[in-house]
Amino acid sequence: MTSKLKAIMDITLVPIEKGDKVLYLGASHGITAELISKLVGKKGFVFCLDISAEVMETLVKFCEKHENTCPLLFDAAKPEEYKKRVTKVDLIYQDLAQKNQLEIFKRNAKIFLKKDGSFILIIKTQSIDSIKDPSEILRDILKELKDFKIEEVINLNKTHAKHYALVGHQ
Amino acid sequence: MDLQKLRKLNIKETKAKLSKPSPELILNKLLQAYNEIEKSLEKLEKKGIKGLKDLEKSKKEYEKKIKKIVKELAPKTAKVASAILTAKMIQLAGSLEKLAQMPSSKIQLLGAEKAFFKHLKLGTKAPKHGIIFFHASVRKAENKGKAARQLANEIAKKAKIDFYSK
Repeated sequence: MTSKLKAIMDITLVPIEKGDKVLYLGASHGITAELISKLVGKKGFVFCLDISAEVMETLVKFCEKHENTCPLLFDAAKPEEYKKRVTKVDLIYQDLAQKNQLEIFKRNAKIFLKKDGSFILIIKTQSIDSIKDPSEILRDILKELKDFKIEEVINLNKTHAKHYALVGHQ
Repeated sequence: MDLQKLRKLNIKETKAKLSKPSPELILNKLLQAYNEIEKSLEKLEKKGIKGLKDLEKSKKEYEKKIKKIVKELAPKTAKVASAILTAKMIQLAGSLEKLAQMPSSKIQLLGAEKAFFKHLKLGTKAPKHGIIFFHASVRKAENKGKAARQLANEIAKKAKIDFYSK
């Protein structure tokens, strides 16, 4: 299982700089979180959120090693619950396998993303509708994201089937 | 709040949450081991080897532990369907909450997702039962589809009672 962020970085430039604060929704075992923590450097910070306790065991160990990360065992669909555990961030990186991924992203962006903050949103079309054509699902999502400025739409078919990545800013 | 303070708070909080696992998590781990033992016993039966006391002992031990947890978590569904079948259904559904919110037709087909999506995409025959097939009343019935449907309806009712009466 390769990191999706690596695949994206092979194709385009990614808006992560040193000193950035990042909210990572769907951190899982921490493979991509490690990459992000290296990119943001000592002065940056990564909030790694995941809903599953099985995965959180490895994630806590990872966060204890890397001083610019911290673990959060919460449901990304309920940002009110972790409002006080997270600061405002420069970037939201979301990689969730949920049917309402777009709603989750909008809710979190409203509360946590700075005015000129950027985002990397990975769309897992299989979780939204496993029978529809993925390009149709992508079209529907792009219509609903008119408030955001999308710079790149990346097709990750070579490494991750039926996944798209959206890179942009508010 | 200072970032380093936040970090320490978050690490403390998540560790505290992890030290109290939910019953469904424990069920997942026990079922993993139980399913492996079942698989290996089946394989050996096919080759003709029977009567392995060690494996059967450990299988019974896992059964006891699973039954304990399921009877606390969902006592009424455990009476209708056997304790282990409810445990597997809770695992397939994800949690007792999801099982309680599923329509009974979905409960009927838990475990038959491959056949179901084939039916939707390619137009093959629809599956009649998933993991619910392994209940005695379905296996012995003459009309398996009917038995599976009726059992799934019962399970759906009791799962709702179990979840919402807590």
